[in-house]
Amino acid sequence: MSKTLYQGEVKEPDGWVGKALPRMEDSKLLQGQGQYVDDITLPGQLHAVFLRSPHPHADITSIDVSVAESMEGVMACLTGDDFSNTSPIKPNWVLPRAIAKGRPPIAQGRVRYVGEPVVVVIAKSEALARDAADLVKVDYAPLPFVLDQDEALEANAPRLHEDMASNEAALFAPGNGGFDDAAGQAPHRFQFSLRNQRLIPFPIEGRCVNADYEVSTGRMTLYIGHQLPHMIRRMMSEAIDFPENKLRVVSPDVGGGFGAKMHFYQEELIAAIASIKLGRPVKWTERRDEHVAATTHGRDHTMDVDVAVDEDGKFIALRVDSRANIGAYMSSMGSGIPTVNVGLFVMGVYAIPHVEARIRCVYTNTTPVDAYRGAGRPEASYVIERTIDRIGHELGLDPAEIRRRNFLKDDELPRRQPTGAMLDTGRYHHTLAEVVAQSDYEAFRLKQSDTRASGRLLGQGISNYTETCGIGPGQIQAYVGFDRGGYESARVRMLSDGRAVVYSGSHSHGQGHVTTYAQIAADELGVSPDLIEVIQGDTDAVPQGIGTFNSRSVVVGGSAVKVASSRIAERINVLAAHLLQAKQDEVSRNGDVFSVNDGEKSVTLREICKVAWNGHNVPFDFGIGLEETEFYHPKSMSAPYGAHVAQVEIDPRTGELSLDRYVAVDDCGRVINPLLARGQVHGGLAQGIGQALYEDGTPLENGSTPLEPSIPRFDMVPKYESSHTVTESWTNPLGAKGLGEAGTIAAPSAIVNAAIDALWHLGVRELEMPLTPARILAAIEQAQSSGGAK
Amino acid sequence: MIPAPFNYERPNSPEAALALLTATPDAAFLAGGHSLLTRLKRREERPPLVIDLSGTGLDKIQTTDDGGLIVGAMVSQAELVNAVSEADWTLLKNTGFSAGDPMIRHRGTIVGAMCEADPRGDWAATALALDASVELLLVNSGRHSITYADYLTAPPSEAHLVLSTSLPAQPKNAVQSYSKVKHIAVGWAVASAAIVMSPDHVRIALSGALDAPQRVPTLEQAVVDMVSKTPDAQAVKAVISEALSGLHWQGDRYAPADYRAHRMAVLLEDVISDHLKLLTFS
Amino acid sequence: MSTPKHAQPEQLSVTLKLDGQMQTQPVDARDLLVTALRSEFGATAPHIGCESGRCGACAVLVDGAPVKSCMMLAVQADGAEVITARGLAEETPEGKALQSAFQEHHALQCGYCTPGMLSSAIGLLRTNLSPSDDDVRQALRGNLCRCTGYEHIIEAVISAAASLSQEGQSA
Repeated sequence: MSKTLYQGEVKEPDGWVGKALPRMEDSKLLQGQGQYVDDITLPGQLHAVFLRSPHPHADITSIDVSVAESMEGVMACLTGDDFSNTSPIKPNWVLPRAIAKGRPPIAQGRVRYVGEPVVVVIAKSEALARDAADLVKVDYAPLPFVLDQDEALEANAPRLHEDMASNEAALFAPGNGGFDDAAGQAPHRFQFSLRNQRLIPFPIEGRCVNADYEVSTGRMTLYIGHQLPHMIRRMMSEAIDFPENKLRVVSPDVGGGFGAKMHFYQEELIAAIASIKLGRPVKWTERRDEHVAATTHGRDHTMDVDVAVDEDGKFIALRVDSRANIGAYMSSMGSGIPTVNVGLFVMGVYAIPHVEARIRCVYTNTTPVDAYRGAGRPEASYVIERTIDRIGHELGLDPAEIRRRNFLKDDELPRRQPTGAMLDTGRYHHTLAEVVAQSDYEAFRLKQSDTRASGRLLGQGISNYTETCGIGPGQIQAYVGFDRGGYESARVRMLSDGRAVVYSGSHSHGQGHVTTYAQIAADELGVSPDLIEVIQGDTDAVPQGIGTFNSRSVVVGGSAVKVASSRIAERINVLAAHLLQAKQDEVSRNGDVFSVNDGEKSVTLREICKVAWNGHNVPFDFGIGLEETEFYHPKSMSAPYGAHVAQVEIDPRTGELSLDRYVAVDDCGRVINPLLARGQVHGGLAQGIGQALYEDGTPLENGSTPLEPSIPRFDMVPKYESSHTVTESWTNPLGAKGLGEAGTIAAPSAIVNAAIDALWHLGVRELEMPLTPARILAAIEQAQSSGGAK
Repeated sequence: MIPAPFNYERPNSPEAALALLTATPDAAFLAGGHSLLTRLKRREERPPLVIDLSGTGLDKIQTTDDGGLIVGAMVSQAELVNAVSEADWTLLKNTGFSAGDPMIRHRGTIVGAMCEADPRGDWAATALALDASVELLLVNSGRHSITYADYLTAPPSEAHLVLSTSLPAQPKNAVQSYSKVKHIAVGWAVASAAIVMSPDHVRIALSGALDAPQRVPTLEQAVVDMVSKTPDAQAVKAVISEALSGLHWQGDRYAPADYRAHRMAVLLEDVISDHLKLLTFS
Repeated sequence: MSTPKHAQPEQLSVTLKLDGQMQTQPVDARDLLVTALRSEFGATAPHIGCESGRCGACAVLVDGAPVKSCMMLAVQADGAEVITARGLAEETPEGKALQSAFQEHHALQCGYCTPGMLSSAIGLLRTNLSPSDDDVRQALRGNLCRCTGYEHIIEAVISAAASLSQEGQSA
C-alpha cells in the first residue's frame, strides 16, 4: 500500500472517524428494550430442558423416560438412541493431522464430561420440562477419569476415545530449530514451568436458541445469540443436511460472547432437529449452572520454558514445550486456538535467533475448551513476557532494560517471525517509553527500594504484548485447517432520501458496530453518522458474511464498509457531474450541495439519490441505484501491540495483593472511536485482571465445574489509566489494528510480573494464577523456609 | 433454576403461620428468601407449601426502656441498619455495610440470617457478640425466649417460628466492631470477627471459617485479663493462637482451611490490639 | 424417584403497577418475580443472568427500592409498584439523567446487565447525590458486568449524580 503511514498519538480528527461519538445503539438498551433471544416467544412455543451427566466418565446403563413422557404437556423425551444417525458435531478448525472427535448431539452410551447432554425433554413450558426431567431415570456405571492434561498423557491414563492410541489429539511444532546447539553454548540458561488456568467465559447472557421450523414452507428460522450468524447457518445446514437457502439465522442483540458464542453446540442442533420433528418452535435457554458446565471454557494450558541468553541478557534460543487441555471432545476451534494462536506468538516482540515450540492438545474428561477472549495469544504473551522478566531478574537487569535490549527495532518491521507470526508495524521502544513515563516507573522503583527496609512489598510488572488479529486471509486459514472464510462483507445502500443503510456480515455482541461502521461510512459518503443505519445479525438481510472474533470487526468488517461506501461516493460524484452537465473535476461539494461555477448550478445529495433510484435521468451504463457490496478479503493480518504496567503491593502477613495502578498504552493503529476503544480496553483488562487474580474454572476433584468462578465485581478492579500510541497498519485501508482482546492478553503477565517483582528478593520465583492470597502467602513461606534468595 | 411446584400461603398472624406449618409436614417459612429460594431453585428442597411471613406483623423494630432492641422476624437488614444509631450500635452498622450487597440487605432479614447461621455469614456472629436472644412461638409450649447461643446449639425439637430477636443494650463504654475478610467474588466471609469489648465485658464471635459462627470464650477471658495492662503484641498473638488452636476450619480453593485459620489469627491480632489500645487510653 | 406431591402448580393472581400501568396476571406460586415479569407481564427489561442473586441483571425497583427479581416470588410482589428500565425515564426522577449519562460515558456494551445496573444506581442516588468512586463500587457490587470493566459505569453514575444535584439546586 502506498499511503503514508501515520505515526503519532490520537489527535483531533478531520472527519467522523476518530471522534469519540456516543453510541447510537444505546437508547433501546437503556430502556431495556433490546431484543435478546430469550425475549422472543413464538406462537406454539415449546421449551427444551437438558438432563446432563453428573459423571466425568461413565457408561450409561439404562435410561427410563416413561414417567416423564407420560406427563401432561410433555411433547418429547429424546435420548442418544434418537440421535444415533446424527454425526458428531464437526469441529471448524482441525489442525492438520489432528484427530478430531466432535461432540455427539447427545451422549451415545457413554458420557465423557460433567454436563454432557444425556436426555432432552421438550414440553409446553420450561417449568414443565424441568419437572419432567426430574422424573427421568438414568443409571450410570462410572469409569476411571482424568481431568488434567499432563496426567492424561501418562501411559496408563484413562483413555477418552477408545480408538485412539493415546489422549493426544494434535501436535503443533513451529519454529526455526537449532535450540540444542545454540543453548548448549549459552552462558545463561533458565528452565521453569507456567500455567494458564482454565477460565469460564461467563457472558451475563447465557446461550439461547429458538428453532422455528415452518412445516408449510420447509423453511427454518434459527434465533440464536451468536457471534457468527452466517457460519452457524452453514454449520447447521451441513450437520442436518438442511437446504441452506431455506435456513435463516437471526441473531438479535447478543448479551456478550467473549468467544463462547461462536461455536456449534449440541443444544442448537437438537433444538433444530426437535423443531423439525414436532413442527413447532423449540427454545432452549441456558441456565447459569449449565453455562459453567456445558459452554466451552478457555485457556488451560501448561508450559515448560527453556531459555538461553548471552551475557547481556540477549536471547540466544527459546524452547517452549506445552500441553493444552481441550476437554472431552474437540470443539469448533479447539485444536487451533492452543496451537496456532499460541505457537506463532511465543517470541512476542523480540528478536530471538532460535525458537522451538511443541504444543500438544490433549483430551480429558472435562468440558471442551475453545476460544475465550484473547484465544491463545494471552497464553503466548504470558510465556514470553514472564520469560523476559525472569531473565531480567536472574541477571539483575530491570525488566524495562532487558526488554529494550531484545526488542525488534522499528525498521526491522514488517517481519515474519520464525514461528510464522507476521508483525506489520510497531514501535516497541517508543510505546514502552510512553508507559514508563505515564506510570512513573522510575519513581516507583525508588519507592520500592525505600520501603523494602520497613518490610513493605511493592512490585511492578511490564507486559509488552503483541498478537495478530483481523483474520484471514483465507489461504492461510486453509493452510492451518481452519474451515472458515477470512473475508467480511458490507453492503451499503444510499436511499432516495440521502440516508444510508449498511448491512454487515460482522455481528456486534456489545462492541458498537452500529456506531463505528456509521462513522466509517459517514466519512466516505459525506453525511452524518446519524443518517446511517447499520443492520447485522440476520442472514436473510445481510449478504454472506463471517462474523465477529479475533478482533476483526474493525480491520476486516470496517474495511469492507469503507470500500463499499467509497464506491458509492464515486457513483454519487459521477451522477452529480451528469446532472450538472459538467466534468467530474469541475464539480465541488459543500455539505449536501454539489455545484459548478461557484454555485451557478447546483444539485443536492438528496436529489442525486432520488434520481439514482428512479433511474429516469441517469446514463444508461451507469445502472440503477446507489448500492455496493464488498467482500473485503485481507492480504495480511495486523499486529497490534502495547506496553502495560501493573503496580502492586503485597501484604507479607496475609498474602493479599493490592493492584494499586494499572497503566495501559495500546497501539491499535488508527483509532475509529476513542470512547469505544477505551471501553474495549477496560473490558479486556477486567477479564485479564480476573485471570491474574481471581478466576479459576479448574474442575473440582469429582470433575464438576465450580458454579462461581469469581468474576470480577466493581470493587475488585482498579481505576485504569489507558491511552494509545498510533502506528498505522498497511494491511488495511483504515490503517487500523484490532483492539478487543488487548487487555486480556496483556494484563495477566503484567500483574504476575509485578507480584514476582515484589517477592523476588525473598526467593519467590514463580506464582500460579489466580494469585490468591493463600497462594502468595504459601509462596512467601516456602521461599523463606528454603533459605530465601540466593 | 425453577423450583418444584408448591402451594403458597400468606397468613396474617404468627399463630396462623405456625398452624399452617404443623398442618403441612415439610412446609417452609419464607422471610427474606435468599437462602430458601436458592435451595428451592436448585430443587435441594421441595416443600409442598411455602408460608410467606410478610403478613404476620413481624416487621417492627422496638426499642426497650433500657435501650435494647427487639427486631421482628421480617425486619430487613437494611431497615435495621438505617434505624439504629452509630454510637450505640456500631457493630450492627459495620455488619450491615459488609454483608452481601445493598439489594441483598434490602430483602434479607437479620432473623432469617440468624436462623440460617451459615458458617460464612455475617449476622450470626454479630448476634452472638451482642448476646442476642430469640423469641419463639412453639407449637405446644407457646411463647418462649432463649438465648441465641442456646438456640444455635440446641434448637427446640418441636415445630416453632422465630418471632424476633432481642438485642440487649451494650455496655456504654464498649468498643464494637465487625471486621471481615471478604471472599471477594461471592461476598461471604473468609474470616470475620464481631467484637464488643469493654474492660469487664468482652464478646468475640467468629465466622467465615468454622463449622458454624461461634463465640470463643477462652479468647474473651484472655482479653479481659489483658485489659488495663500495657498492650503487648506478643501476648495478644499468643492468646489468639491458643484460643484458635482447638477450632475446626473449613476451606475452599480460594481460601483453604489453613489459610483461613491463619487469616483469622491476623485479623484478630490487628483488631484486638487496636481495641486494647482504645480501652487503655480512653 | 417419587412423583412430586403437588404435580399441578398452584395458580394465583398478581396485580402490579408496572411501569405506571395497573396490570393483573395469573402466575404460578413458584414463579419468581423475574419469570412472571418476563413471561406473564411481557416486561423483558429485567434479564435473567444467574437466577441465584449473584449478577443483578434482573434488578427492578419494587416500591422504590432496587431488588433482584430472581430473589423473590411473583406473589410476594402482589400489590407493589414495579419499575423496570422501560419505565425509568417516566416513573423516576433519576432515570433520564442516568440513561443519558450511561450513553455519554459509554457505560454499556452488550446492554444485558444495563437494566439492572440502572435500578441499582437509582438505589444509590436516592441516598447519596455526591457519591465517590468507592461509594459507587460498593453500592453496585451486587451487579456483574462482563463487558465494560466497570469504570465507565462509575463515571456515568457520578456524572448523573452531579447533574441531578445541580438540577435540585437550581429548582
